[in-house]
Amino acid sequence: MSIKGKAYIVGAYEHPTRHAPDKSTPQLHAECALGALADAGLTRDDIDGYFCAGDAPGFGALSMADYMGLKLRHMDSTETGGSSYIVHVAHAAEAIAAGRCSIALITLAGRPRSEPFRRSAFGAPSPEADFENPYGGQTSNLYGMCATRHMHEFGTTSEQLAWIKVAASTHAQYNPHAMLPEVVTVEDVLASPIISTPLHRLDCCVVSDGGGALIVAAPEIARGLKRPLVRVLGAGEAPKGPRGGELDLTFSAAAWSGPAAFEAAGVTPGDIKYASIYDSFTITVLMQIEDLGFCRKGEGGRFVADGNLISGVGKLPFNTDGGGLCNNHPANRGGITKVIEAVRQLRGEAHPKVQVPNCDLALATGIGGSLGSRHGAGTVILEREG
Amino acid sequence: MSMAEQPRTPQSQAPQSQARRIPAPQPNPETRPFWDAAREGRLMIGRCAACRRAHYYPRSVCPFCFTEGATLEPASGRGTVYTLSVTYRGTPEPYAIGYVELEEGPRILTNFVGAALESFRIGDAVRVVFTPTEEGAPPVPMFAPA
Repeated sequence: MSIKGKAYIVGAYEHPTRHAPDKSTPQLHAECALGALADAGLTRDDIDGYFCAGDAPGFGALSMADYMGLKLRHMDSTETGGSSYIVHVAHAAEAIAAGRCSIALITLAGRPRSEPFRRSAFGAPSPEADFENPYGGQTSNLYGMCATRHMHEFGTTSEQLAWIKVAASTHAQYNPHAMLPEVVTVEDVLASPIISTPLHRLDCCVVSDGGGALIVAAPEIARGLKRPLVRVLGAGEAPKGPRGGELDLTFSAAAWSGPAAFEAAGVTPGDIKYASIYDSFTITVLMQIEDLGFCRKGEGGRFVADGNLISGVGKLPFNTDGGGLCNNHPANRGGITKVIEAVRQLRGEAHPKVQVPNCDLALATGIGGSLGSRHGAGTVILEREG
Repeated sequence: MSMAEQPRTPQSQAPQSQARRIPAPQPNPETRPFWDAAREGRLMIGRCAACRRAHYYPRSVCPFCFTEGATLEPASGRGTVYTLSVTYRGTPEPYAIGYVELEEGPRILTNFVGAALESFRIGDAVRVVFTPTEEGAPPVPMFAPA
């Protein structure tokens, strides 16, 4: 069953907060849902499908459906870390195409700046725990190891990685909600402290409270609403891990999710006008650009240099909201903001300084979990209709 | 482990004098023979009786051909550095985490120890050294210059 053209993103909302000490996490989920419903011109009672991931408190979909008073005939709590919400767009489109629901809500929210980390419901010990936890794997070093290997294999440099942050910051200056709106230079990135080699502080995304929500709906519902039509053209998803010791850190699972999405959509990387690329770290962006086929493997460093990702300057405008590197990474998960900015671009509602002219085809892609161990990639391709 | 959701320790709160805690392995029926060998200073890897490929972490069903009855065998304990990252922030003390490629093939997550952290390079020859965890618990394999 193809999902091509079977579902539309009719509502998209990014919570403006980046620090929410006075709110609860379920409250933020509900506020994001309200924002996306208002954007779509729908009400809570229109929703019949709900999607959430590990940031949702308590029993996930069960707790949040009850908190928000949702009456559902379909739910899904697929958990692939920060890429979950990109995967959810695809799963919502599948559920709609299969007739399991007609209006699906996706929410993400969290408060990593305001409260200690809490494990989600997926709490049983993982089989790899005793073989990996003793070594102090942290987000920064599990991505740093990939950068070390990429530099070794392909000659990628810290200067090239820094260009990704420079491009994101160039966009962030126009976003009034961005946590880090100041434009930085390659020299600024290289002068920032090393967090875990070879990654500097400015190679890392922000930590922010907040959230976002999306509403995915059936074609007949989308056509009855007042918002520009953004349809789901294709999607792909894949997990990747150390594979029993046959580990290869030179590519990500986007090498599988990307081609699957392009094939389903019937388009090629060269057709994409705008790309939201998950930027937990600069290296995350570089590897996905290669894996999606925007350039050949190993040439990502040269591809991202010299402003090639800056809207109006380069060939591949990316993360025009400032991305996770500069704008927002709510709940330490950036997938939903990737889809939201792609929707803004397709609607022509990005900031005029970063809006891609005639943006009719966009991609949102993400890596959740840890690039250096096990992670899940999700890619969606979206098209403006009319 | 969903690393993406791990908290970042604010640097101001990171005690500078305290050593990084190494969580003690908690053997289960499937992994106990591996950890019993570790107590005796032997690094074991998994080997499938059907496809003969080596794997790590060891498990009873081969991750490659999905045949039951994979067994443990001693590894030489020698290998080379596949990649690493030296972590300076969010930790009481810097440490080197990375993957070592064992002589037998598997690339395994570990720490590099026994030399200046900045001195390790991809391709360096290393050998296993078992590092204590908690009182009464098994030690874990780390790697030092060969």
